[in-house]
Amino acid sequence: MMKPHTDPEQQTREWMKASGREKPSEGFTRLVMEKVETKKRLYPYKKDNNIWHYILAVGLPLAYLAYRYFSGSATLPAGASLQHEVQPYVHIFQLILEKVSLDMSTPIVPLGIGAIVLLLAFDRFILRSFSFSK
Amino acid sequence: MAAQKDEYYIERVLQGDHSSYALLVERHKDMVYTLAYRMVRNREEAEEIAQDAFLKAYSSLKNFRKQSRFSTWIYRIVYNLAVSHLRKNKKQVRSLDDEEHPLDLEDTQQKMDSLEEGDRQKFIQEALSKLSYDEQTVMTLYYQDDLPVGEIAEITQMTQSNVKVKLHRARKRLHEQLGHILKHEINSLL
Repeated sequence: MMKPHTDPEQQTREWMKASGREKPSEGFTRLVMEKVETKKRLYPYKKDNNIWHYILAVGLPLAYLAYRYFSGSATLPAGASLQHEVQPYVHIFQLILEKVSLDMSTPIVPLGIGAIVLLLAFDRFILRSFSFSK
Repeated sequence: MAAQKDEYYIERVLQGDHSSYALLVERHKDMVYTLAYRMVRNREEAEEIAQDAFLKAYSSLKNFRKQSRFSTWIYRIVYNLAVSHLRKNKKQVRSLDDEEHPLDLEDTQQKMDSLEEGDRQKFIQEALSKLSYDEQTVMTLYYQDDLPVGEIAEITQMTQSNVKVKLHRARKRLHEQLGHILKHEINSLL
């Protein structure tokens, strides 16, 4: 038999505790774990990318090639000079960088960036202040 | 074996021991299901929502911020899923504004006290089912799971003062509903 309370707060707590918890079906945990297993198979769990993996996989071979290239002593298996073979590719990158830096120095680029910043500021501080759904 | 904290099992799952997740599910399934059921009032739908909540939590486990407890986090997921489900199915939540009854706690207590435990449980559940879903949620979390108001606010994304108001109103309505149900039951017996 429940002990009556004069405090509604206490009484409610007692009633709520007496109402008990609902129970899911027998195999609930098994069903969840089956779904987890299916999900795991479809989308294998990936650990957070580690920057050292990239350094080891990409950085080290590149660093080795760069070292061989700049030391000037590198030769390929066919006997060709690495510096000589790689030169056209390096030249292309040099041309692209020159083109980009030339484009960036024209007045249209800072003007364009300024216009975008102005539009963003207009949207953020003026348009949104009129919006009903904040 | 002594029961470990949730954080221990979460760490194990993140390290690749997926079976540890079953222990987390086992530990929290009843309360997660209770919360889902009290909101949607349908066993199959509640089970589906509870399963989806655990699956969603599993997928986002690595994003789980350890500032809050796992239970708070999973309750928040199940609450959001149940709210979406209710909105999608456009279920009408019954309003009790038009059937207010004067509160007579002592009378209700006496009647409740004279009941068998099974009947008492049945009537409390019936009275609870008449409350709106957010009232049922705050009542379940506060009185049944003993969560503080701050955590309930975090789960339901309400302000703390709003939670307190809802709790007060829900408690009053539960008492009124119980009084109403008991009166009806006694009248039908006479």
